[in-house]
Formats: sequence, C-alpha cells, structure tokens
Amino acid sequence: MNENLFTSFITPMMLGLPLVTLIILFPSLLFPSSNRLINNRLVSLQQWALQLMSKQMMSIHNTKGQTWTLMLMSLILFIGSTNLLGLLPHSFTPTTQLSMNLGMAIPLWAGAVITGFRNKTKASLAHFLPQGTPTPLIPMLVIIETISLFIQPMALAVRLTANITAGHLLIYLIGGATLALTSISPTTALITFIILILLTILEFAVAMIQAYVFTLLVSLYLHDNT
Amino acid sequence: MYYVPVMLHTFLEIFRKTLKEDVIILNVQVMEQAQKKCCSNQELNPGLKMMTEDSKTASVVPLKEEKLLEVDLGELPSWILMRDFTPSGIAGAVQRGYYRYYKYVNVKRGSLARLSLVLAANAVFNYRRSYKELKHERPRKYH
Repeated sequence: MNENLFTSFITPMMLGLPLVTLIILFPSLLFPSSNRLINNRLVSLQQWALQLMSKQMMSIHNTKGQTWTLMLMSLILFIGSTNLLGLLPHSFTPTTQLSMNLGMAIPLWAGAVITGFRNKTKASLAHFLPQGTPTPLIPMLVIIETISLFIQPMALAVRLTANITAGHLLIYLIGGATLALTSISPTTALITFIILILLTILEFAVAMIQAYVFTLLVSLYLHDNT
Repeated sequence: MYYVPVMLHTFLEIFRKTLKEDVIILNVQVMEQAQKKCCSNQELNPGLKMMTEDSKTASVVPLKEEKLLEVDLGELPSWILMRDFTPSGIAGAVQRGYYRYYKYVNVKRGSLARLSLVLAANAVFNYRRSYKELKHERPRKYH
C-alpha cells in the first residue's frame, strides 16, 4: 500500500517510448472538426457548448482582449476533457503532473502581463497600488502586491494539480477502504460505498470547475492588462 | 460521359486473370476516375459495382496488396515485412486508421453507445498499460 498509492501518477512509458504523448493527444479525437453548416449530433453539441462558454467568458473583454478567445476556449476544452477522461478506471490524467500545469500557466500569465506592460504601462503599474491606501502603508503594499503578482502563475498551476491529484487519491483510498471493509462489517462498507459515490459526483463537478476556474483567472489577468 | 472509363474497366476485367498486378492497379485507378467523374456511388452501374467487389475476393491478388483479413496465416511474417515503412507509408496508414476510427465518432446520428465504446476501449488500453502495477493489488492472502 505504501508505494502503490502513487504508482498511478507516474508518467506512463512503454518499452522506453513515451506513451504520455498519445494519452495527451487522445482527447482531441473526441472533438471532430467539421466544415459543414449543419453537423452531426456530436459536433452540434460541442458547437453549442463552445458558443455558450465563449459568450459567457469573453463578453467582458474589449476588442483587443477578445483576440484571445481561441486560446482560452481551447484551454478550457483541453483541461475539462482531460480531467473528465481521468475519471475513467485506470486512466492517466496529464493534469496531475505539475510540470504540465506550469507549462500551461506560466506562458499564459506572462503573455497577459507583458501585453499589459507593453501597451498600457502606466495602468499596469498602477495595479500595484490599490486606491485609497494611507500614505505610510504604501511601500509595504507595493511589495505585497508585487509578490501577489508573481505568485499568480504558481497558484494557477498548483491549484489545478492539487485539486485533481487530491480527488484521485481520495477515490483510491476510499475505494480501497470499501473493499477491505466488506469482509469485516458490510454495513460500514455500505456507508463507505455511499461516500464513494458522492465523491465521484464531486469529482465530475471538480473536473469541470477546475477547467473553468483556470480559464476564468487567465481571462481576468487578461482583462486587467488590455 | 462516364461510359468511357466504365468500358475500359470491363475490358480490363476480362483479362484480369492473365494480367495480375497491372490489372489490379489499373482497376483501382479506373474505379477512382469513374468515381471522380460522376459524383456518387449510386450513379455507377450497379452491376459494375458487383463486379468490382468480386474482383477483390475472387481474383488472384498479389500478396502485397491483400488486406490483412485475407492473408493466410503462414504468409503473415512476409506480409508484415512487405508493407512499406517509409514515412509516407506510415502517414498513409495512420490516415486510413484515423478515418476508420471516425466511424465511431463522426457519424450523422451518433449515439451515446458509440462514444462509450471509444471510452471503454480507452479504459482497456490503460488497464493493459498499467497491468504490472495492478498485479500486486489482487486479493491474495500472501502477496
């Protein structure tokens, strides 16, 4: 039980070949592209969902910020589908790896911040000082705001990693507990099984919510900086 | 207008047993041309279509172009070695497999059953991949 707990999170390799590339590319097969005006059911559903998300998320931006729509929509689709596919039995979820989440968070955050600094320098620098602070507090507050700015990509990546990993770990542990308890006292096993069902429902919600939160925060950073 | 390649095709059909490889390749080319000139399969002579399907199973097809399910078991190693492993060959194979897979996802009236088949295949693939670690979790008294 000691080292088996984390073996599901190691990068999958087969005969030395990186299988993880195939696993990351797999969700793209579930989103077919189509050139027609009226599509089949799957593509129509996805187009409806995409339209809903883009309207809800990109309406707050101005023209310059709306150029990021493609990036943010593909981001939310990727994170959502990867998280949901990880709930299948024995699947490997790429978003549990901190390396990948950092690779997603840092470039997006840096892009938003650098756009802000290049195009609206004064306004971006003004974010470091909230309005109406008393004068003696200013130096300390600037330092605190700088730290909070630089911690944003770390927080984005670690939030996603920790949520998904913790959820998967809880499912493993409670599932193992249910199995071990069936031979000792079936009533407790039943209670644990109900907890497992509730957890799985929560995990489905978390998978989609995490995608949403990630993308929402990136769009917020973008809104500040365009 | 499309009668010209159709007549050419029937002409070649008569000699297919004697002309082996060239005929098969020419058959495929002629069929493709005929399909390009008239837009859909139904416009082709239905009798002709039966003949083309027969030509794949009944005639003596060279080993290289046989489909996998029609290869005899003893010839299997030589069949595998004869497939072209050039990058364009692999790209062609990937494209063909991709469009065959598309039948599970990109269908006009797709249903939940087709999609769940794909997800189940994914689960089985991951089970096979991680079997080594899963071996230790079997319910045994002594591991």
